[in-house]
Formats: sequence, C-alpha cells, structure tokens
Amino acid sequence: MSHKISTYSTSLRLLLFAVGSYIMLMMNADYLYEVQEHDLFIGTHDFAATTLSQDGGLWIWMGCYLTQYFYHPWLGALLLTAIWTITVLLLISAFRLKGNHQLFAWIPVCALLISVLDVGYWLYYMQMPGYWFSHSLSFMAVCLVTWVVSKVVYRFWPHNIAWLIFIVAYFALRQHIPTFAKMGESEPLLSLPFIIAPASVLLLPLIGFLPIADTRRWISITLTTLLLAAFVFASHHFAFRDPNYHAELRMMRAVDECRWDDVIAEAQKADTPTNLMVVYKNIALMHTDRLPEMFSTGNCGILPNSGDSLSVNMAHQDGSMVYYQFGQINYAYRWAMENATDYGLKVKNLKMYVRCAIMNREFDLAAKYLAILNQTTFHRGWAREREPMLTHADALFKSDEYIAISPLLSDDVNILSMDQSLPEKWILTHFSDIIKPATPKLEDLIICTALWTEDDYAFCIHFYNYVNNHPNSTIPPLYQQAAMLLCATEQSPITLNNFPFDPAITARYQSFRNIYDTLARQGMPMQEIGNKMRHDYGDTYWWYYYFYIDFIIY
Amino acid sequence: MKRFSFTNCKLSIAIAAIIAIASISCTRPTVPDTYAMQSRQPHIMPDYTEVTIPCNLCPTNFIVTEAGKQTVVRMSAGTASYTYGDGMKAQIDPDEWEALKHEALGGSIKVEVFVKAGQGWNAYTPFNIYVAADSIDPYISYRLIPPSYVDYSHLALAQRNLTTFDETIFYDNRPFSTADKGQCVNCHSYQNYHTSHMLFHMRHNNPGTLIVDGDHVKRINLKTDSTISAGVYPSWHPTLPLIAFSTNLTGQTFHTKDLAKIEVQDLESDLILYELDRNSISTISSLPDQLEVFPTWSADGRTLYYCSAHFAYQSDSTREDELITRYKDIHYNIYARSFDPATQRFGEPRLIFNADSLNQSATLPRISPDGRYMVFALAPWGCFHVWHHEADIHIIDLNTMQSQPLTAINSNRSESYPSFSSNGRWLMTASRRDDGNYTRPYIAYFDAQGTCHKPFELPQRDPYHYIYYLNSYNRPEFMIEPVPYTADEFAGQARQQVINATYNGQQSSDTITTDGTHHDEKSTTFTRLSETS
Repeated sequence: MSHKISTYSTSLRLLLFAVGSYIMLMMNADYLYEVQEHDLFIGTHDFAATTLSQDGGLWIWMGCYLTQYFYHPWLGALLLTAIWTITVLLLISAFRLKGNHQLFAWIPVCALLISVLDVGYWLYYMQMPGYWFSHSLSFMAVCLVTWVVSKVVYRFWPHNIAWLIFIVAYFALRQHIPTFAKMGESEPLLSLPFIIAPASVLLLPLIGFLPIADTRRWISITLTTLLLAAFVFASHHFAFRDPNYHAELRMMRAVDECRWDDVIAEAQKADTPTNLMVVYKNIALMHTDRLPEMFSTGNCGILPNSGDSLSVNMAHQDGSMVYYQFGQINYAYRWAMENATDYGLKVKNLKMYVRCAIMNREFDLAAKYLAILNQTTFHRGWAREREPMLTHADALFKSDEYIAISPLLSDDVNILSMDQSLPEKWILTHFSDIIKPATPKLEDLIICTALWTEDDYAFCIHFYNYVNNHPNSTIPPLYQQAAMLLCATEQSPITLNNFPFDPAITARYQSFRNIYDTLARQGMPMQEIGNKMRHDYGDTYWWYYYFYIDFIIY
Repeated sequence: MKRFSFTNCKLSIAIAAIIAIASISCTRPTVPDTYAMQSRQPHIMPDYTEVTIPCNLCPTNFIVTEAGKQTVVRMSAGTASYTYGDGMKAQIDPDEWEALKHEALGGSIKVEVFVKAGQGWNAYTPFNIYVAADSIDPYISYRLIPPSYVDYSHLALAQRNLTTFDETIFYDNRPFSTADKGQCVNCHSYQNYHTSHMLFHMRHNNPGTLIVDGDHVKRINLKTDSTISAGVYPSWHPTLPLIAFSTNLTGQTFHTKDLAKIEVQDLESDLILYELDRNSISTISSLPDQLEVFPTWSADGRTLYYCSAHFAYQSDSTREDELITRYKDIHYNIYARSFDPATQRFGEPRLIFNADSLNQSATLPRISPDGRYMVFALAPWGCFHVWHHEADIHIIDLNTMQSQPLTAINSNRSESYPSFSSNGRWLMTASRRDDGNYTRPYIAYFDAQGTCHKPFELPQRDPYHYIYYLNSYNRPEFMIEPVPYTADEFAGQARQQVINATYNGQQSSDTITTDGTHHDEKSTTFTRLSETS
C-alpha cells in the first residue's frame, strides 16, 4: 500500500513539474517559433556529415533535428518537457532518491529550462545550432549512462556511486559549456545554468542528509508546493521577458507571413516600441497604402533593452527582411548572407535567399535554395508554394509579396553604396533622396521618409511635386501638417504659404502652437512640455518634430 | 524427428528477406525493352554531355534532370558496357569506370539515358564523353568560402584528388577564430605546381603568410613601412626562391540593383618582389596613378606579366567616393616586364593587352607551360570578375598576339581565375554558370592545336552535392602532388613566431606615363575569332 502511495506521489510530482515546465515554455510560444526560424535541420547526408564532424556533433545534429519541432511550439515544448521528465526519472532512479528528496532532481532541469528561456537578444548572435535541445539531450544521455551503469554496479557492489559515474559520464558525453560572446561583448551569466545543472546533481547524494524524509502528507504537499513555486518563480524570473522583445518576435512572424493588420495591431499595443517595431509597423502601413498614418500610429522608437551589455543591431536582428520589404533586394540578400556567415545558416536566411533570388529573377539560384528547403520537415510547404514562381510568371505576379514590393522596385537606378550596417538609416536616406518616384507607393514613401528623418528640405521638394502631381486630390493630413509646420518654422526652398490648407488642420496647429508657446514661456522643460502635450497632439507630425529627440539608429 | 520451431522459422524468413533485399539492391537496372525515343540529348546535371575528360579522371556521376522518378543509364565503350540508375542518379562504379575509360581512350564513352515517365519509358539521343589520352594533374586545391560579402566565419583550404573523390582540408581557420576576432585565409599558391614550395595568407587573427620552403615552414609578416599592405595576390617564380606579390588597399561596396551585387575595388595597389633567402621585399612597380595587380610569371621565369589600371584621382580627399562613383572607368590592361634571373632586375613594361581601348578590363592572366598562350578574364570594368556576370575567359596567342574569347569554356555567367595544368592540356576556371552565385571548378581540354573543348564540372561522389553545398570553390589551382602537411600540422606551424620581412627598396624605375600610355606599343589587336571546339 505504502509503495503504491509512494509511486502515486512520485508520478503526481513528476506530472506537476512537467506541466509547470510545459506551461513556462508555452508562455514563450512566440519565442519558440522564432527559435526554429533561427535554426536549421536539413535531412541530407552533407548536412549530417558537416554537423557530425564538429565537436559534440551528434548532440548538435540531434538538437537541430528536434529544434525544428518548435515550428509547432506546443509540439517542441512537449518534446523538451518529455526529455526533462525522463532526465528527472533517471536521476531519481540512479541516485535512489526517495519521497520528498525526489523533488531536488528538478533543480538541474530548472537550470536547463532557464537556459532555454533566458537567451533574449542573444538569439540573433548565437552560433550554437540546436542549442535548445542539444544540451538537454546530452544531459539526459549523461543521466542515462549514470542510471544504467549504477544499476549494473549495484548488482555486484551494493553502494551507490552514481555521483562518481555521473562525473565520468558527464566529462565523456557533455557538450562544451556554451559561451555567449560577440565582438567585444559577452554574457557569462547565460552560461551559469550549464554549471548549475551538473553541480546540482552532485549535491543529490547529500540531499539524503536533509531532515525532510518525513512522509506525512501535509509536509510532502507543502514541500512540493514550495519547490514548484520556486521552480516557476526561478524560470519566470530568469526568462527574458522584455515585452518589446516578444512583440518584435510576434511582428517578425507577422511580417514574414504578410499579416499586416496584425503587425499594426501589435505595434499599437506598445507604449514605447523599439525602432524595429516602428519600422515593421511602417512597412505594414506602407503595404496597406496607409503610410501617411505613420505618425498617428506612433513613430517614436527606442533602443531595444537587451537586459545586459549586449548591443543589438537591426541589421543582425532582421535587417534582411527590412531591406526586402522596402524593395532593396540586393541588400536583403547581402544581410541574409552576412548573418548566415557570422551566426550560422538558419531557416530564416534560406527563405530570404529564395525570396531575393525570385525577386531578382535569379531562378537557378532560387531553385537551389528551394531544393534545400525541400529537405526540411516543416518548410517544404513554404518552398513548394514558391516553386511555381520559377516557371510561371503569373504565380509570381499574383503573390502577396510581389504585389506589395513590386511598386518599390521601379526605383531602378543602380548605385554603389555602403550602409555602415545601419539598414534604417540607409533606407531613410535612400528613399528621401529620390526625386522622381515612379509609383504612388514610392511617392508616399519618399515624402514619409523625409518626414521620418526630419529632412525638411527633401520634404518641401517632395511635397511641392506631390501637390503638382495631384491637382484635384485631397492632400493627406500628414503632409499638410508637415507643410504647415515647415512653411512657418523653417526656411523652405519652396513657398508653401499659399497652399490651401484644411482649416481644421490649421486650427489644430494654431492650438498646438499656442499651448506650446504658453508652456515654453512658463519655462517648462521641453520633455515635460512633450509629455503634457502628448495626449492631445501625440498623433501629429508636430509633436514628433518637436519632442522626439531620442531617434537613435542602431 | 525435428520439432518445428516458430522462432527458427522467423529467423529464416528474416535472413531470406535480407538476402532478397540485398540482391535486389545489387541488381543492375535493366534497359527497358520498349521506350519512346526523344530526338534530343537528355538534361543531366552536371552537364557531361559531349565533354572531353582526362584519362585519369574519377567517375563523372550525374543526375538526370528530366521529369521522372527512375532512370537507367547505359555507358558503353568497346567491350565494356554497364548500366546504372538509383532514382534519377547515375553513380558509376570506380572499377567499371576505369574499364570504360580504358576502352574509350582516345575515343569516347557512349551514354544512353532512359527515364521512366508515367507508365512508359523515354529514351534520349545518346551522348558521348570523350576520353583524352592526356592526363591531368592529380590534385587541385581551392578555398571553400560562402559567397559572402564583408563578414566571414569558417574558411578552409582544401585539396581534391581528381582521380578519386577524396577531398582533404589542409588548413582550417576555426582554431584561430573566436567570437571576437576571426581569421581570414586566402591566396594559396604553389611554385610550378609543386607543394614543396607553397604559401597562403592568414589575416586578422594570428596574421602572416605561411610559406613552405622545402622542409621549412615560416610565418612571415610581409607588411613593411614602405609598402601599402602585406603581400596579396602571389606568383611564385617557377625556379628561383622569389615570389611576386601585389600589395592592395582593397574595399567593397554594394550594388543596389545590379546582380553583380558586390564591387571589390583597390584604392591603391603596387607590385613587390619577395626574396625568400634574404627575407626581403623590393618594389617592382608603384605609381600613384596606376593600380598594379595580379602578377604572374612566364613558365621560363624570364617575364613577369601583370595587370594595371590607370586611375587618376581628381581629389585626394574624396578618393573612396571617386572610386565608387567612377567604378565603371576602371579598366585594367595587361603588361609584361622582362626579368633577368642573373641580376634579378626587371626590364621596361610592355603593354600586352589594351583592354581599356575596348572599354573592358583584363585581369588574372596566366601563361601556358609552353609559354605560347596567355589566358585571362575580361569584363567591362574592375578587377574582381568573379562577381561580374559578363566576365569571360580570353586567350592570347603570344606568338601572334592575337586574342579571342575562349567561347567553348565561357557561359552567360561569370568565368574567372583561369589556370593551365602542368602539361598545358587542361584549362580550369572558376565558373558561376550553375546558378550565378556559387563558384564551381570547370575544366576544359585544351588540345595540342590550341582548341578549347567543352568544359566539365569537377565530378563529385554524390551528384547532388553542388545543389546542397553552399560554399564556393575559390581560386582553384592545379598541383602535381598533395600538400605535405595536415590541417593540424599547419595549425601548429601557424602558431610560430612571425618573422618580419625587411624592405630593400625599389627594383627599377617605372616608365609608364601617368596617362596610361606606354613606351612599348607592341600590343594585341582585339579580334573576336570564332572558335571551333
């Protein structure tokens, strides 16, 4: 009977902790999906040979294989939870942990869970394919060897030397402790879980000395609850939870899938979006012909909060997609290639290679990349959707991406340039410098990029041309706002005073000026004035122009 | 009486099944009895139709890229005839390949391709693989590198045995690359096809030029205060312990629309001579308005050929901008200077090929071992033709000074880095014809009459290799022997203390005038002769 109770409580604890792990993982489902986009498993002999030839190649290969299951985050999370649960079972059995002592077998797993969730912006800089599974797999293998050998040894010598076997197995089978470093920056704390996991196993033989072996139910329940709470707290606390980071990940996926309304909706949830979020949002506005709403939907980006010393660069985050969406195909291809070279080939890079090759009509090249994507488990569908584009122009012309991007491709003057690894700066400068836009989309874009960078001169030229090209159309309120501001406050190269502004906009601008002048006369600092006026005027170009002074391009 | 055992029965069935499967898998595909004849040759990849191969080449495995799921390929020559087919792959048994080549020596192997399409079979017009009696150098080497832009990560120098499929890495940059600082490795080069005297450069982390000089390996710093950079593009003198290098200040910029994607340009470049025995450097050519690059020795070591572009900056303060805005104005010509091995002095420069007059740019000259021919890459501008789709290989008969494009070896995509095998009968180029972005070695037969034949792509054991492989084969070079060091041994040598080369002054004064014209006007006339192949 007591054996049954013991088995029952062991199973219940396992179930509780497994469910806890699973929930913690699923709370980061947006991240898990992007994880598999930032990894790659190809079912070819070449891929296996190359991967297996590395140090710890087997774990990397298996890790890459399993990481692809995060394509369905619930499935990947289930697999990872299963590996951890088996690991706990192996530890309990190998170290002969009884009753409440079994709870401590979850400590190494907690460390592994944290190692999966605390990656944050290092996601873009890691050079560790299969990271999310490979360490858990190698740790499980160490525990398996410990369990098997200790069982065998115990038959002949009734002493528990699992700790010794664990040490030997660990040094034989482990992967190197991962280091998180890039040019001059490193984050040693992220390596800590990989030290805590094996170290906590070595403490398991000592757990027996803790006075918690009491089998009374209430003590057991209390201990389980406490440790479960600590487990959840630790994994939640150490997970990377920056809301902008997660919003970026969701927007990244939405942009990839051309879900423009979702992109805009996500951006509007954020009070202080990052520059990348603003760029994504403006891409979505541009592709839905709503670019003149860019300031009314929030255009004040901030630097991403990486949580440590890591400086994040948009080019590395999603520079290739940003360039692609603005029709800069060569630069998109370049950054997909640069990032693949620096941080390893990923699904994301391969898909961008395909996109660029198709847009550039390099169909032989596209076929090559599609052939590789066809060897993946979850992205072959994406590849097969695009295969007809190589042979049937109609399939290309009717695709959402082509429809969205092709109006930007008519800017067809080739120039030689460099972007100093700053896609946002390059795009804003490039488009605001275009004098003769060939499509309405480009026409809006060149005006809006001039406003985005507060290039007054370029705006005035573009506005003048716009008005002349659309004599019978209503000029978007944004352009009127900017023209009103610039004809009044800056030395414009073109006289805009005679333009028939919308009286409502004129009145609102007058009101903006009056409030601003009043507050300024009172000696209120600019930042405070900005905060005070944000509620009523935060949706205007005037507010952006006066108060958004932290435009730091990264 | 023996009792029936169910376990034994199961075992027997299993063994029988294994034998059956094994025998099925060993069974040769049979040529279908009935088929529909197609009046064209099949599409295969790599394209080995009507190519000429050396007698010592490994099997030319290929994929049939016709619509279908199963192929049968029959290869026959003389009394030898074999069939192959694994899905759409034809992977040839090495022993049978030897038999086929033996029978076809000086003639051809006939290749018939059958493809199962739906319920029936299609047959295609047979093609030939011609087997030349001339052999090829048993090894080539190349750098494996993604077609990357500014950044680099894993680079390797590899050698490939052309008679088998064996490839070995002889230098890998990973031991010297950290997250903070990587190591670039480039410009492997050999003295007269021998690896006993060879070199390659290491840049950034643990920099230096690793020079194998007989039994010694030295790590040399070729940068001096008097030269603009360390040695870059090398050329070993064929017999003497001398290496000509260019020195270059190189930059990259990016095309927004052009499929060339990258423009690699030299802001400055000169030529230097490195004397191994004295560990000293002297300047061969250094004029401010000339960009000298790509030195290459003649086979007798009495002439140094090189490329040079006349480019006068209009303002010193905007040199980089000028280089970018005027990139189409940079045209390299090919020059030659005599060299006296006794005095080690160079003669006056002679213009060999005036590409500028054709609004073209000639780079990467190489001389045939018999000294009669020069091959080079020609494109509308610039020096880095691997990225120029228009780049083609051209040839000059140095006896007649007539030049012509080598049509047989060219494609509508980039061809660059030509080189002759040691017997002069094989011409290798780095071609991007497969997909426009990834460089692959293509080798063409260059017969005794100077006719170039259709090139073949370096064969691979798995013919799908080129589809899935995402590295370029950069700077393919012939070698008559393997590199004598392993990657580990070279890594050990690379850690040795670097030795600084000393600067020994100017070799001789240049006489190229600043407008790019030349004292010796004996140059080629550009003719586009049709070529038979």
